[in-house]
Amino acid sequence: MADVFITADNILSPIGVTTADNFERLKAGKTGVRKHYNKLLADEPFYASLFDGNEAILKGNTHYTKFERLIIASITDALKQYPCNLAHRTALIICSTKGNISLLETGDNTPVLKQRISLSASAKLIADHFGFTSQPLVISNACISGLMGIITGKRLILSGEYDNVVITGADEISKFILSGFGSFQAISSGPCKPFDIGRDGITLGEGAATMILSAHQNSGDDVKVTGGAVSNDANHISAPSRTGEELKQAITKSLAEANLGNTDIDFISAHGTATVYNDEMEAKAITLANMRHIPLNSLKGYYGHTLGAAGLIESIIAIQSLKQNIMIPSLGFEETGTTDSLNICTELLSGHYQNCLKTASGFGGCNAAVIFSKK
Amino acid sequence: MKQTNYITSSCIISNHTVYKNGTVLFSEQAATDVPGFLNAVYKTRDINYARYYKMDNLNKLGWLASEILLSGGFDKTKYRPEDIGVILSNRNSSLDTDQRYLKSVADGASPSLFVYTLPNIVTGEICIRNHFKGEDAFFIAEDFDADFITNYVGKLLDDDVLQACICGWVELLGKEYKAALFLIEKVKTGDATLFTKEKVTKIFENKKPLQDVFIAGVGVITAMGNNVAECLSSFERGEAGMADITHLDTVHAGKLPVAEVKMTNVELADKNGMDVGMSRTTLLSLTAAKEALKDAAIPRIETLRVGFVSANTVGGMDKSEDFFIDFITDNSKGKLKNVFDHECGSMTEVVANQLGIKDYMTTISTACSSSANAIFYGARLIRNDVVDIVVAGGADALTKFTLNGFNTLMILDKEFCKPFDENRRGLNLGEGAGYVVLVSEKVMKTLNRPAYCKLSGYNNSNDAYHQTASSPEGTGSYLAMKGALNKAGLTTSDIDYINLHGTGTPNNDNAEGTAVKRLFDPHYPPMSSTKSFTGHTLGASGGIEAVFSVLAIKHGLIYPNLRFETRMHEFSFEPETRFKKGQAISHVMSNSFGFGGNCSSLIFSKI
Amino acid sequence: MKIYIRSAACISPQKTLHQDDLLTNPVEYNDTRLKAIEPDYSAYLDPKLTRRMSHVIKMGVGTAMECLRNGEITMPGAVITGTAYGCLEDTVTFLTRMIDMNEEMLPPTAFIQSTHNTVAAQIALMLKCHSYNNTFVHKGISFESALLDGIMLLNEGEADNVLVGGTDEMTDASYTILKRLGLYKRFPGSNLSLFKTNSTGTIGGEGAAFVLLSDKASAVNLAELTGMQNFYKPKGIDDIEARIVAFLKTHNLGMANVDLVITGKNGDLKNDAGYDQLANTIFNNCAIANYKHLCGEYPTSSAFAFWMAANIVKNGKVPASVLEAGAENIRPKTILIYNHYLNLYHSLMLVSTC
Repeated sequence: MADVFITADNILSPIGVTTADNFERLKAGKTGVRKHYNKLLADEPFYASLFDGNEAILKGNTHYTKFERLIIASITDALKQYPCNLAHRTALIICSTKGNISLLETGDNTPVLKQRISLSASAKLIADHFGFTSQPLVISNACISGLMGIITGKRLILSGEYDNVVITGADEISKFILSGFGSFQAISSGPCKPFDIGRDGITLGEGAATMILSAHQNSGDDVKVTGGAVSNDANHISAPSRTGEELKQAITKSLAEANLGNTDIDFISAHGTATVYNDEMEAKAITLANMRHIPLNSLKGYYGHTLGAAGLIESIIAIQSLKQNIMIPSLGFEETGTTDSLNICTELLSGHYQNCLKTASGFGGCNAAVIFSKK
Repeated sequence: MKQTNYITSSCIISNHTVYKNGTVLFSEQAATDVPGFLNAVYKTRDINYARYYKMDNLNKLGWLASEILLSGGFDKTKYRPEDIGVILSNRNSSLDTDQRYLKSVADGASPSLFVYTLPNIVTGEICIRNHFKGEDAFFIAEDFDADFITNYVGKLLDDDVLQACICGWVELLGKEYKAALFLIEKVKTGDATLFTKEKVTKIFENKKPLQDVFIAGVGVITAMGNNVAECLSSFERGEAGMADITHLDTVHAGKLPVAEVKMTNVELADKNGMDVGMSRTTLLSLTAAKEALKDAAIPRIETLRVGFVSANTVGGMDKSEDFFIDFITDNSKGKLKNVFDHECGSMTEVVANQLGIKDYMTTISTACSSSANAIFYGARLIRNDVVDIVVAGGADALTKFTLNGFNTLMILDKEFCKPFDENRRGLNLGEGAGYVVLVSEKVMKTLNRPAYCKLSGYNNSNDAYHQTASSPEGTGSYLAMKGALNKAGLTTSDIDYINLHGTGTPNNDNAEGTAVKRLFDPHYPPMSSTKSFTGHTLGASGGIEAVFSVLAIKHGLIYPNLRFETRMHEFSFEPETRFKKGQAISHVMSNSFGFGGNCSSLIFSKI
Repeated sequence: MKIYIRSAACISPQKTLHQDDLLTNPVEYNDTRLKAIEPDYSAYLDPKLTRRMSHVIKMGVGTAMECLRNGEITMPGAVITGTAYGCLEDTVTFLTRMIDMNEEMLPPTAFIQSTHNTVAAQIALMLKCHSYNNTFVHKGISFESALLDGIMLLNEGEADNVLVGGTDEMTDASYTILKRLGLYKRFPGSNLSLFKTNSTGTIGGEGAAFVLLSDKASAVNLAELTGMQNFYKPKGIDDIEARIVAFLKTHNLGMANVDLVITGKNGDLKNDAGYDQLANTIFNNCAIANYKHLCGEYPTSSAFAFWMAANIVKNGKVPASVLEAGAENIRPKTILIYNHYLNLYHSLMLVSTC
């Protein structure tokens, strides 16, 4: 199978505005999560990783919404690293769970507004901003949207139809989203604690990320996407699988595609939302896949759950880990809290990393796994 | 590896109707709202699935469509659960529920509502119900993208990521909704169709086939005869209508032959009980349109919606010419009566008033293809249920304006024209009118005698090459003929006779011949240009030649192309030179091409 | 199926080509003939091509190009025009020369460009557009016929992005003749006080307006074309009322749902009598706007009204210059255009927010 290279990437988060910024600050243990009192978003104080609103990119020109500006800023940085011909054999994939939904909270509920909210309207604006000539693709697959974007992008390159695929994702934390997760009693009381015995729910976060996949290598240390698969639990629309069997299936399929065995994986970047059920299911799946000994982290303690962007942000950090041979500790973890214990990374690790696994699971029973490899 | 995949089942739910594999399974037009309709569909399923009542409307719609899609024959045990996937798309994501969720937030957010604010729950519900564990994905797009879905799902199957896949579109926002699901498998079952973009689009669009339009009557007046019977007998005798100019007061009289209608304005006005001051275009139009309507003899026509779509290019120019002689010397001079009906639309209006038609009327003017366009516009009015009957065609009188205009272009033959001959030198102008009476299928069934034929195909395409000249490749003509064949669902071998545009100018016949060659080579049907009898009647020609085409089917005729001697060196075919009767003629193509690159082809077919 | 107005453009006696300030500062004329304000066409058309084009061809082609540009569409799926008079200037030129020169030694250009479909043909030629191309020439419903053709094409799934326009030009000859026929006022006054003149006759105008119709929802769409209908020779004002009510009903609407009526009042007492009667009956609770004082009367002026309605719906405000009755600050969601031509041809068009 032909190679698919990651030739550029960007993370735009409350922690930093480039991939390098983010990785450096994660290494220093910096988190974006803090307590917020914002009546516009929620009646009670809550923990989240949010932009403070004073960022330059969020000001000025009101033509674009916050969601679109985040994406535009993120893509702009990625394209600086790998300027490709957007008018020729280059696709754009946008991943988001709720896009511009916050407009519904403030605007008149008119047909024009409905049109403006739609993800395809944003996609067109973004595509036109940069001059993409192919029809942008929009993926809205709950919390696996970002990984689904990478898997789809890889397929578009392998189909031979495109040379480059720009995959971008973002979500904005609004009253809509906070109230929804709140209604599930799924929001943590403090900063979230993935896989920990004391975990009590997710911490939300906002951010954007972009990854450019290419059929051609940009520099010698480009990491490749070597495998990816998606599965469904067929069990419950809002609760994860009881067995973890389906996520394991996705992991197995992606390993097979990458032509790797479970022992070839050097570390795992898990979904680890810090809800009781998700982390339990993931631990089961990783155990079923015979990978519980492999060092594993969840980055939700730094970024919170960034929804449509999560898969991309966390993949990009994993890619940096491969490049720098440094693994970021799982913030918030102290004591094993899953039936099957995992090898959770609690301090900066270094090693000779070749391959890593990234997973995600979401509402609707969807699971995704992606493999990144060096050389 | 690209393999062949099949659509083994399809389900469309829209407009309060459920379609399975293209046929209506259930329709509930009485349902007051969308949830009421969906519940009615659920009841027909005769199952008890408790989850159904928990779902939001988008999920109910998608789930019901999947139930119907998979019903009757799909054996999921053939596959492992992880080999069946669900790939869906829509325009407005979960906006319908998003709005309702947001409203509910004030009274305490509901988790059971919030979960449905993710569009991919639709795929989740289908997976839960059927225990499908393969890949599922949800894409948002402004419109259903058949191209993307066929490529994407095709690739998942080809790469063995999946062995079977449900894919399609599930959209619902307020009162607007549509579900279109396809089951794609690698193995062909009973009435499976190929999984291609075209098939998917066709199933998705789920269009009611447009109703057929029939020809119930014809009327014509040309230099070769004042009505249908006279024209037919001139064809049989091989007698052309060209002669020296007699009616027109012009310096070109005696120098340029033309095909004038033999009746004078006084005779035409008398015959129709009209004022002799009328434009000759109006008088010709009325004569032929009346004949057509009388010929059709539609029972109880007063209870039906009748339209008149007429074409012309000169309007009341014959009278305006008189007016301008005085007007240009002194702007306060000239009889206003002569210019009052200058507009093309006036001809149509006067004739419609005489025929008692007022439900719909309009006028088309696209140079020499005008009345072919009028005929198929008329047919489309019936197909779109605007009217039940349309008298359609066109008229043009010979005027000094057109005679001099064509003369400046140096395309008038000083002898009688020789269409499609190697030594052709140009056209002869003519005048006349030709109309057909188009009726809906419903009206056709009430006729006292069989309809002549049906209008099965039509197309207008533009040459986009030059304001007056045709492209050397005959692009517009080629696209028009090909488009008409596609519309009729016919191939070139089905055509039994082509009534060519064949003006006799070097440029037209070359471009048209090239287009015919591109489309028909090496099997050419008989063809001829009846302009060798009628001259080029401009805005009337499409109508007149449509009448001849209809008569060709009715009587099994092929008309001769008079004065043809030498085959054009560019082509391996030549026009028919003898009048033939008793031919088996099922499909006739009639070509009309005009200035501005305006190219139209009509196809008439035996019923 | 819904039909959307994706974009629109207009050249008229007002500054309409750029729509930033929709008719807020109307141009005043003290004449009974309003001439279109022509832009610098070199921004739209190749000067080599326009050199030989007549006034109406330039107006038509220029407006069509601007409409496509507004709609961000490079290639329309069909081109349909409506024009009552066609290419008058070229027609009169050829006719005059023919008489003056006694049918000898005539140059062909004017004849070539005199055919009624020249505007549609030139658009096709310029775009290399091989799609459906048609031209309707039926007096006061030429534009409406073109619009119906466009609607049917979309219904039939034959084409998308259908470019539909109405064009007519006024020449010295046609102005003189129509004036002699009694169409225009005997004494010129300000067009902005046209409806206060209390006399017969109107003011002549000209212009071109194009719209791009699509059945695809899009953020750029201006408005929805909810419906249209023509009727011929109604029996009287009661019949007109009944037909308007029935037309609205076919779209599940009543007058209560109409936020603004745009009428075809033209300042001629006889012409306007019907509109005034309706203002006291079915239109009495509705805001009313007029437009012919801005563009003048001509057979395809309803295309101007249609362009205006689409922009009003999109902008969410009614320009004070067109409002006859009702509050200025309304945001019309549904607009009914009612126009008649010589009391013979009546047309109804419904434009609403999408």
